[in-house]
Amino acid sequence: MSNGIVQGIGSDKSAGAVFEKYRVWVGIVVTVALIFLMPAVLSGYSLGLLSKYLCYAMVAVGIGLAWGQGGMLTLGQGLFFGLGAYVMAIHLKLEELGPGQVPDFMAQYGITDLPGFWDLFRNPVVAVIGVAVVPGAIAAVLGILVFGRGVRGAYFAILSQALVAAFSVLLVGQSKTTGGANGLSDFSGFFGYDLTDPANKQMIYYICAFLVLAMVLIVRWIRKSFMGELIIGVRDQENRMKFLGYNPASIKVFAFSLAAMFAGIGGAMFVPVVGIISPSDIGVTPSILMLAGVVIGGRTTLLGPVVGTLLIRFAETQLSDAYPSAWTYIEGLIFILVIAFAPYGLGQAKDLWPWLKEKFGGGAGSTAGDVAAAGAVVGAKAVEA
Amino acid sequence: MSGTSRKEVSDVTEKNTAEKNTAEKNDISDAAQLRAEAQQLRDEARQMRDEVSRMKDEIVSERKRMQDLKDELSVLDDRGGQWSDYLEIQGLHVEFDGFVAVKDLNLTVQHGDLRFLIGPNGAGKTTIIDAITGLTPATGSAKFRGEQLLGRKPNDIVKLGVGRTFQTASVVEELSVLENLQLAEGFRKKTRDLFRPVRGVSQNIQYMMDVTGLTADAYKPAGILPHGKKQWLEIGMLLVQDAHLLLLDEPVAGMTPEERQQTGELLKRCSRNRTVIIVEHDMEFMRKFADSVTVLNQGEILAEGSVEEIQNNDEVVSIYLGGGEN
Amino acid sequence: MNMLFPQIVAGLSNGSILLLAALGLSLTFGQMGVINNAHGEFMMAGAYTAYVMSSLIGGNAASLALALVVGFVVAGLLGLLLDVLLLERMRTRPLDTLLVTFGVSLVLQQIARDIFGSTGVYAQAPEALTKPVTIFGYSFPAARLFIFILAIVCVAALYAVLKLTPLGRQIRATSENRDLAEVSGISTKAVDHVTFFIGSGIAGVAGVALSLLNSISYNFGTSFIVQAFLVVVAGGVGQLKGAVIASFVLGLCQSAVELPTSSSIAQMSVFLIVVIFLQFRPQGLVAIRSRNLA
Repeated sequence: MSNGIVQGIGSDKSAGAVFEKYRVWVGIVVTVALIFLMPAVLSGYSLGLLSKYLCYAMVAVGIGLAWGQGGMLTLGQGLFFGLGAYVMAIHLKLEELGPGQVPDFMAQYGITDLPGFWDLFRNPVVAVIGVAVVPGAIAAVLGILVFGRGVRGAYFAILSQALVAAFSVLLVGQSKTTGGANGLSDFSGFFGYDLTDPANKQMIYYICAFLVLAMVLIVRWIRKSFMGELIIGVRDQENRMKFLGYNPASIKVFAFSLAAMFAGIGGAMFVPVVGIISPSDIGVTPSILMLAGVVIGGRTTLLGPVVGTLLIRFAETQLSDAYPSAWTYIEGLIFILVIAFAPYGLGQAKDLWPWLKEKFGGGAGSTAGDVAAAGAVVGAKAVEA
Repeated sequence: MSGTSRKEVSDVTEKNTAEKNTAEKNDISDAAQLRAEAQQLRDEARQMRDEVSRMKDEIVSERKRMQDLKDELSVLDDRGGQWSDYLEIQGLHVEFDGFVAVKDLNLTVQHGDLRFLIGPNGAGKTTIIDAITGLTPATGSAKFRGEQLLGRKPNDIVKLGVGRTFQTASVVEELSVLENLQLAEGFRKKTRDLFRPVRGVSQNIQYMMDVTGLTADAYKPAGILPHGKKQWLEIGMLLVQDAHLLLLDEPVAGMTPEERQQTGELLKRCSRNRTVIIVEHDMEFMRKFADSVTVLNQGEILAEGSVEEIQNNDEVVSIYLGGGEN
Repeated sequence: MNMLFPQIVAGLSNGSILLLAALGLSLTFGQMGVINNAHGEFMMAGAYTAYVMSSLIGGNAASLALALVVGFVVAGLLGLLLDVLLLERMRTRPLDTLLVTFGVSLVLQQIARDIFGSTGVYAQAPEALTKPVTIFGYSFPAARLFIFILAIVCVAALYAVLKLTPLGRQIRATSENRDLAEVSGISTKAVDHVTFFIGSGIAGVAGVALSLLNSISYNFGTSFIVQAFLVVVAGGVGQLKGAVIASFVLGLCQSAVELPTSSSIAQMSVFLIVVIFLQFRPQGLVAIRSRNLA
């Protein structure tokens, strides 16, 4: 008899799954339509801005996976963003130069031979692979060292912050080979395409948009798979997972490295979109600001990080030039108010209805109780995360 | 048929009364016809009765088949257990910064045993479990099915069929009961399968939910379960995990008397074909369900034996009365 | 010896700077689990206090002494305000405090920028501290010696408060077992507030002291905060002893690497040293064994 219940619920669930599948396709079609609509309604300048927001959205998708799902509060995504960006920037610089030539800033320092790590990324295939693999590999090494020894929570957050701080200082310090505080800029082409041509800018926008879409779908796939359960399990009961026969470190390394790759790809696209990458784009503060959109959109949701990032970056462009001081206050207050009072951001909005019903409707019975209990669980989760 | 003929008859009577005789004859044949009809109905009824009884038989046999299937399923409960699956601890020694928590301990727990570890606080009960599950480094030897457990990582020890619970129920509260059980079942998955969605409910999980009484809660988040059910979920996870050595740390702490009773029965059932070790403070619970008891004090074994033997052991009594156990 | 000695002195001096910056963090992170990203801005508040004092009174010993006291109170009150308004409600989710306090640090930096402008200012130091002093035949900036002594005094004072006073007992009791402390009649809420006040106050003192070496601007604290966090991680949570040792070890390492290479490489190596160190002691230098699963 009880088996019947399971099967009954099971079939409900599969019906839900059918709906889910259907919903995803609608979502994809609408998104693709929107992506193609944008160039028609936006000016070239606005499209460039949107492309920039999309680069940050790629980072945010990864943060959503690593932090929202996996509980790894990474304050150092700027490192991976920067690695991807510098790999791309080095390649684009080399595209412009003939063999044996060095970039202007190196010539100013009197360097005549390209450093080895520059030459490595001359090959476009190596560069394209490098923008994802270099950040991914460094994240994997860091993850194995850190997660492998059970270092987590605040310790991990602090280490990731220290690493990105050290990285940006190192970039400035090694100015002879990295361009220092000025970074790398003035790129004329992107794999042979003229960057000043609006058609090519539009193409870069499409690349960014479809990359974001692809990343969201990858994360969705992970969330729906058994791996998604494992990642949540490791977030909430890391040590317990060992006694269920898993190695939590490898699960965390996987999620963290994937997030790093997304950040690296975002950084790589940032270079042709914005035309400059410098240490000031990837320091400690920019790295934490990469979390802002995730905070607003809802760290545990699939789309929240993307929506939140697009919103906040849009707001930033609108406000920061006109009211720079006010914008910083807004940014600060976003972190303060959202995290303190609505830790799940816009993703929490759907909880508002049951809450209102319970508070004002006097909704008695088990439903209200269940909701309250579920709320308590969510709260308790936040505790451990 | 008969109705029509009667109507015909009356038509004829109206037309021609001279043919009355014929009509009477017709009446007689009518009666015979009715009798035959009744007979036919009786036959039909008998047939139906036969059919009903046949169906009844079928239901009975179907019920029996279901019972057989259930029994077949319950074989799951008894998977793989054999006499050689026993735990043998020799010279187990655990030290924390100079403090000896477990002192050269020898302990053997047979397959099919429900062993209770009791003793005052700090006796080293939980430390023993920690040591053989890889949480705490230890020296000596602890073998299950002939495999050395010490020196391995917790997740490798699980693969040898050793499962444990913790004093505080540690389930993944945000995931449903079913998903928690799937987590417990999934550690044998190949890497490739980790990236596939989990569809449906495996027979194993369905059965274990039945055993632990969690079927109705399958899709509830584990976090909203009452304390007792969380502990049952933990036990269910061990079963789904196919653990043959079950190590339970205070499984009934905080449970109601009824929940204790049910937990005890469940554990008794589990122990039929497994090796079960329970750390417990609840003496009542121990008296009811223990097959055998080991009393620890300051990292050493004080006494070992059946519940009666332990209860009549003067040394144990003095430790418990004089030592100020909780 | 001749080469080594100035390097060791520089290392110890770096270590004392790290220690001053990390001491308050170690208290609030260790005792309360709060990761205060605004700690650097509390230091900035202390530094600006020193600037205001020296502008009002002039650069003399009295203004410095006054600045140390006022800086302690100003930063302490900022911390208390932060704790009462925000952190109190977040005791159960320590990781989130990191982001909330980051927001606070953004706001405090902007306030400083709006009040004092974006360009750096200098707090006029007392005459005596601007000259070098001679130790064992080596010339050494007096301000650094002052900071070194101040760091030691702060550690000693904090140690005395924690070990000897009833307040210290309550703080330690709360950090070890909050529930038990609560049922033993300690108001853990009040203890938390006091702890946060003291921890933030020390940041203010650090800010005053470090204003002797650096120019003061809105991002005064950011240059110290990351390394201070590393000290706390390497030292072990809640362990004064660990923080002291970690500060000086990291300070010595930094100066040892910095001399032959550059400060940017030194910073990277300090990070690597901490990560490698955590391979051996994931709980930090001084860890307490716990049987808890978490």
